[in-house]
Amino acid sequence: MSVPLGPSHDAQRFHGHNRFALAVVVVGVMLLGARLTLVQVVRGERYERFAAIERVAKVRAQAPRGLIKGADGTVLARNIESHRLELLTNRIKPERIPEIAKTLRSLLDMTDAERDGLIADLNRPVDPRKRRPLVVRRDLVSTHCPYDSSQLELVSETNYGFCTTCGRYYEPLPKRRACPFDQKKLLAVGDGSGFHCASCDREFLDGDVCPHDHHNIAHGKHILRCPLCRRSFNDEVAVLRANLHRLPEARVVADIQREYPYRYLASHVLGFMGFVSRKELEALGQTSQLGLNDKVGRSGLERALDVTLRGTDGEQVLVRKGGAEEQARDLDELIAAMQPKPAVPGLSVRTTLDLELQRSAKVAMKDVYSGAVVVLDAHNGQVLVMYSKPGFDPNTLSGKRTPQSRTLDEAAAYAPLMNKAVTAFPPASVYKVVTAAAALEEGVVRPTTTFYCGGYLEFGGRRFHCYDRKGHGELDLHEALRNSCDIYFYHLGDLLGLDRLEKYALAMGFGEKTGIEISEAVGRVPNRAWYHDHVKGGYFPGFALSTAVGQKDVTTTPLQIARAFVAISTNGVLPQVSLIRGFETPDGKLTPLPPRPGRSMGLKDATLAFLRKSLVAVVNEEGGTARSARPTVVDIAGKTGTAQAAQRARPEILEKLKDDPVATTRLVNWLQNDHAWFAGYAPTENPEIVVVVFVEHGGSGGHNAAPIAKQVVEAWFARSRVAAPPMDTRKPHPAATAPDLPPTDAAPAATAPLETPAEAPAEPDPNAQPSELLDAPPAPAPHENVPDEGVLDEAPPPPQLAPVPAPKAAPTAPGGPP
Amino acid sequence: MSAWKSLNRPSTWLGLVSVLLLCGIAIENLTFTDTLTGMTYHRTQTIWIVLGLMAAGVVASMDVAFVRKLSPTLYQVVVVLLAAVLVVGREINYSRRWIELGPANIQPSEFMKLSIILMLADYFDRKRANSASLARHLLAPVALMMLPVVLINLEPDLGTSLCVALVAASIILYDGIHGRTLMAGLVVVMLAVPVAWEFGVIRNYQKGRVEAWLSLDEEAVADKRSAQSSQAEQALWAVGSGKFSGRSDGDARSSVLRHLPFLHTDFALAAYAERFGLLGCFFLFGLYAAIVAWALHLADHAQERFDALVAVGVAALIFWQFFINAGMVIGLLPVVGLTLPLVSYGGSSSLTVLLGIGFLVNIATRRKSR
Repeated sequence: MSVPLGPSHDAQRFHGHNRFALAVVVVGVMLLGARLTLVQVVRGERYERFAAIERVAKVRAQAPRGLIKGADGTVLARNIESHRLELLTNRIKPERIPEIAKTLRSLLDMTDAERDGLIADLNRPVDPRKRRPLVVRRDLVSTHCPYDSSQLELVSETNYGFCTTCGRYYEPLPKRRACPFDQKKLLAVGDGSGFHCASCDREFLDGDVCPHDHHNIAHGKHILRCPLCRRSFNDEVAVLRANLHRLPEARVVADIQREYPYRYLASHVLGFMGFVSRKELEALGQTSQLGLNDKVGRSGLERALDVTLRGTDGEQVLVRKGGAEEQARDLDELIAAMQPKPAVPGLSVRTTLDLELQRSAKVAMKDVYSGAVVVLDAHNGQVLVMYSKPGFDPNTLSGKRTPQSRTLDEAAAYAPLMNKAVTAFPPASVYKVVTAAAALEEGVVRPTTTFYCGGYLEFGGRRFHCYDRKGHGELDLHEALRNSCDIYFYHLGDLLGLDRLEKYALAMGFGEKTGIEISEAVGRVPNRAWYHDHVKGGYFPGFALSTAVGQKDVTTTPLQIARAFVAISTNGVLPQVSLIRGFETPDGKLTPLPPRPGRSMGLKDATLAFLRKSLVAVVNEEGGTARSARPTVVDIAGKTGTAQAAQRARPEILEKLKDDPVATTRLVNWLQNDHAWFAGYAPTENPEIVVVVFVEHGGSGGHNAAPIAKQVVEAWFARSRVAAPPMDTRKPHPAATAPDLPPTDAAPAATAPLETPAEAPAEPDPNAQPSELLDAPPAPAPHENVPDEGVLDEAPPPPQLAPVPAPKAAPTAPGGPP
Repeated sequence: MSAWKSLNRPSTWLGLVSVLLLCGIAIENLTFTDTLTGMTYHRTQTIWIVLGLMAAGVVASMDVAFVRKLSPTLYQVVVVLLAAVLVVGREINYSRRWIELGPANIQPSEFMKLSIILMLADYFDRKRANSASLARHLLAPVALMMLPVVLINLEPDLGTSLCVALVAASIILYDGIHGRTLMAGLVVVMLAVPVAWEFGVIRNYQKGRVEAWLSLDEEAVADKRSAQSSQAEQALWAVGSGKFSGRSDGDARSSVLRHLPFLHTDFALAAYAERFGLLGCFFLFGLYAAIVAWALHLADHAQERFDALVAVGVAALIFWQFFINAGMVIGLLPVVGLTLPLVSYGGSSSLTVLLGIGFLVNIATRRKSR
């Protein structure tokens, strides 16, 4: 039925159309050819350059954060390389999700719950344009132990294997048919060449063929072990990198992690890091170099010096991989033209912390639940020790993996994040120093003025008791300070009045910030106006009496007391307390902080001399309340304090502990106790250090705080006499890294009665010598074994004659380095 | 005259050798791009080419009358498939083009390219007697053309609908229309473009491509310092990097191509041009020109009107796809999703073109000797 094209006009018409079509084709191809000549020949060089530019990218060069170091240069906070695993969610096809999860589970140490969580995360519908990489792991194991940050060692040359087809991952088969990770029996799988641990779900294989699908096995050698905690790890980064070809959706990204090798030792001073929040970023505005993936200091020095430590980010030009040599010259020019800007690293901070002394303080505090030790250099007010208990592991808070601990809830009840060295508490009898100074300056009494203590004082229709209900009899000011007689100071409070007490308290640096670099409490020095505003019924003259003995509403921080004691022990000038010795550039050049002038308290020399004499008597004279703090190596002066501070437990904390009746009882009993204080300095002539010990709900100052101060002072002088070798900075001492859990035994202080003969001179119990390390339960309560008073007076001096400070005598903890 | 004698001419050999060379280039080029994308497209493509050549052989030896009888049915089936794909099709990259059939995904719009050629050739051949009627001669073929064009554009697949429209228009024009009608048609098209632009028929991403094309390569780009660039720019730079004689594989591997999406399909020419430079590209263009010229030559020497129009349709199919795709890669035209015939990866596309070649061979066996 086809119609032939006869030799009609149709054929000619078609022939004309054909010529036209051919012309169109020729013109089209010529157009393309012309354009191509333009692109490839005329503009070829230029486009080649553009293509090269395309291969380079300007990215942010993050400045390395400055280190935080101890006084001797020991690194307390550093940066370690870490790796994170990301899944590029926009590349993941839904049908690949189970496969990805299975592969990752076989490569990483993943639990079923983690895997299911990952699948759920991947299946969650997200707008494809808003997808971001999903971070599966933030700290892949590669170089450092995830638990204690020690450098990992490659221990095993044995092979592990993975099946390239099914993605299963096999550990080397141990000789004994037991899982080397959890010692459980292994079960044979497949044809019997492979074994499976049912409890940890690892598979083991001896051979080169996958028992599941009979495909070949690839091998690697990346079994790592932590020399400190002796855990074994797979080098997750190496394993992942070797397997990325099977996971085109995944990538391993290098990252920097802040790391604190000494963990609990100075956690409150160092602080920790946390991700910057969206809100903070908005507040900072465009000028900030921070991004959502960045961390900022969240407490302590990390926060106070955040900007200094952070440095200034630069811009870096990255060249995508590949490229021939001839291009290198071009690229160099290109990179130069793009003006990369190197990052300016943050300054390192050299702190004033004496780590060895800090450790001694930690060991001395091993039997208390909660408290703080502050040691200041008496010459310049530098902070040698600032220890607060319980502490925290800044590594954990900064985002590292840590072992689960069921005791963490209990530790949380004792406010581990609170730096008790700069938190305000009622100072009790330590504050009598202020009252005595005020009384002498104002001339309301002379040192020889006496009052009679009959155990109580009637005032305003109320009885104000001395802690010693029997009474001290007739005393002068010196004896009143030495014996810490409350009645004498009630009289002084009455004579001075509240506002004159306030004036001298302010002069001595209470009720104001000390100006230390980290955040601190101000404390409270009440005056009449304050009572008028804050107390129902307003001011009552009895308040002056309570304030005179440091009770009721006056609160001070341990650091404020330490600063005042520096002034008292030397020339009456309140020093500028500081945690920072200076700043170091990355090449190690230390720029010391210029000395900053202190402020005179404005007390007469005679007053200071009197106070010093009395403080010596507190420790060294018969009847002094801190006889227990009398060390053998050096003379010490100081003042004890026992603040009535019985409290009820907060309901939300009790709620958390409701599954643990033992912990609850421990907490409730603990809260019934008084706060124990000791503030002192040593030696008595030309003092070197000022020590303040505060034990929250710790019992009495003489019994429970003074012995701790004694240990710290002994540690200091033992070292200054025997030139101790410098600390081993590479491996943290196990005591230093031990967690700050509350003592697990039935509480030394919890059993102490409320009205204990606390300020009576007490003899240290031989048990006080640390015989076990912090991990172990503490020794039984020392003062439960304290004999009667009559025996005490004739008791021999403390038996510690060895010049070796206490922590060094400690045996190695189980699991510590040999 | 025997079929072999009709076939055994230099023009046929030139055309067939060009086709085989293009198939070879396709496999070589995909082998290279597979090293960048990490896929195994060159193997799949080899299978498709072998299948396509076999299908072309079948078509070449078929009785053309049978095909003609089938062409309206074929057209209807493909239109139904095009409608079906809008409903049950598999969505890839926000567009529904594929119907899943067992292991292979077929793309009905590709087969429409052939179907429209056969349909229109058959139509014009049968309606020649009444060529005076405007409705018969112009409106019906335009309707036959517009139905699939609209359906394909709904997927959306601008490239293929454009290709179908251009192929159909080429056949209609080749068959001949009055000068006045031609002018009127041109005016309608010129008016339709701004209207379509303004009233949303042209989608936003398509507008973006046109704008990107208009600003392509100008001096503003010379100040480029960031790594933000469009795929058109990246393709252009890759082509430019090829310069006169091309770069070695190692250089090309490290080029911007690695980050170019659709490297194995729409931008296959970029990879080829970077490696073989201006010389290689001229060779490639020559191959396409040879095939198109062969097809037009056959059209000129066809014994029947149907044969002539089919040959023109196949020539148009190859030429327009080649011209638009190459123009897009080298920055002469805005980016349109259209494959380079035979060289780009794609089973349906290669099969379509090879079937078209089969028709050309079929026609060549029945050409008139002059």
